[in-house]
Amino acid sequence: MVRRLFGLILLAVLVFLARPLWEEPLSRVVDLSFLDRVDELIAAVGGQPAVDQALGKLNEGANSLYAKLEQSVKDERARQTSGAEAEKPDLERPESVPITVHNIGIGDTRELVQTELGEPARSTMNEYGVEWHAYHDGYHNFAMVSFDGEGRVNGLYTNQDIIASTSGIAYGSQKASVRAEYGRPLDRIVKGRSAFLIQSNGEYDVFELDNSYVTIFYDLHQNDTVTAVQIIEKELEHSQDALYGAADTDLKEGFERQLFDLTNAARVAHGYGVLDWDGRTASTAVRHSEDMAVNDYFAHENQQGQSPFDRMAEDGIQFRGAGENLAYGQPSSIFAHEGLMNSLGHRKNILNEDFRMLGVGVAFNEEDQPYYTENFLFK
Amino acid sequence: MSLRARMLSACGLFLRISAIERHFEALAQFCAPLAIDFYALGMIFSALA
Repeated sequence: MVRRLFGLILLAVLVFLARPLWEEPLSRVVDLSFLDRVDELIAAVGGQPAVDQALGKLNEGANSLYAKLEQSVKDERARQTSGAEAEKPDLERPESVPITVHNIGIGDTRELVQTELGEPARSTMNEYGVEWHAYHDGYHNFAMVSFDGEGRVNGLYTNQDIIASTSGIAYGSQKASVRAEYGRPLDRIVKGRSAFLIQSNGEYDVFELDNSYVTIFYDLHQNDTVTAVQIIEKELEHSQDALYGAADTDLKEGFERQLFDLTNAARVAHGYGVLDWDGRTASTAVRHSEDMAVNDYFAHENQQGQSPFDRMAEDGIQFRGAGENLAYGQPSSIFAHEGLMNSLGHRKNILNEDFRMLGVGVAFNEEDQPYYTENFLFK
Repeated sequence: MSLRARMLSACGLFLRISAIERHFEALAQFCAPLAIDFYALGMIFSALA
């Protein structure tokens, strides 16, 4: 009974609100002057302070509800793009290896990695001639893993808070604590009759731990704290007897996509949104890297006097803002990225909240030295 | 140009590797019985812009 009455009132209200639609044609056949009386009544009720107050509150509530809905849509969009709700894994203290990444250590099986991390989001060639398999959840819990021929882990990397160790060293640990724990870092790695000197300028330390070379990267802009770790099994490291990996298309594309992933992982670790890959911008970037490699120079401005913005505009790329990071000579995408993160101007590009897209282009010179170009933009 | 300042230490002499790298293996074999560490030094030169 009450529901019927409520339905009837609702219908009456709707019919009244739809008055402009039926009033004119209906007035030709029916006398609608009684509606003037209804208008007067409504005006009288509307003029009362109590009603005004109630309507004000109703309006306020509707606005608040709308704002909450708008925020929840934004939050959901952010969650979808960056995986904001991704949970940090429970990090277990390793037992058989000194350091683990996302509970994975050197020597673990591919099956264990699959159980712990699922399927890789991307697999790309690295300088050791094996693939980095990148695992992440919307770039949260980002890890890269490589395997030997028997399907056992022989390389690991992360730049997020998923590092565990027997010593207690973790993401955010002080450099002094790392050195106190692991001793004096290596100043060279000897492979056959070659000694590869390590000149890190304090940006990273390399230690020989267990059967691996562990590179611990520090964030110079956050009090020299641990910001990333790379673990390479000795056998894999010694299989690479040159300063640089063999330059080919696979390595070029590998470095490009790895830099893209590393950038997004760093952005998420610092609370910024994920960038989209922009193929057109990547073409502009790779042409600049090739130009530098072929013509033996290293600068934002090319030998025709064009700036990065000129090159992007020439390629028909529209943007409201853009930035360019260049790196040259680093043996891998990881070292290039970590170097850029410790250089304030380049770090600001990587962690710029306005940027929405990134294109990366890599080229090698005759000595296999890589040239890396990162072009950031927003439209 | 890339930095090729690879130095070689052998029998007390410092020579640029580019001058003797053709004889590198022979020198290494010669010095081996003397238990002298004989390495080519590889250095990475890198830059940012």
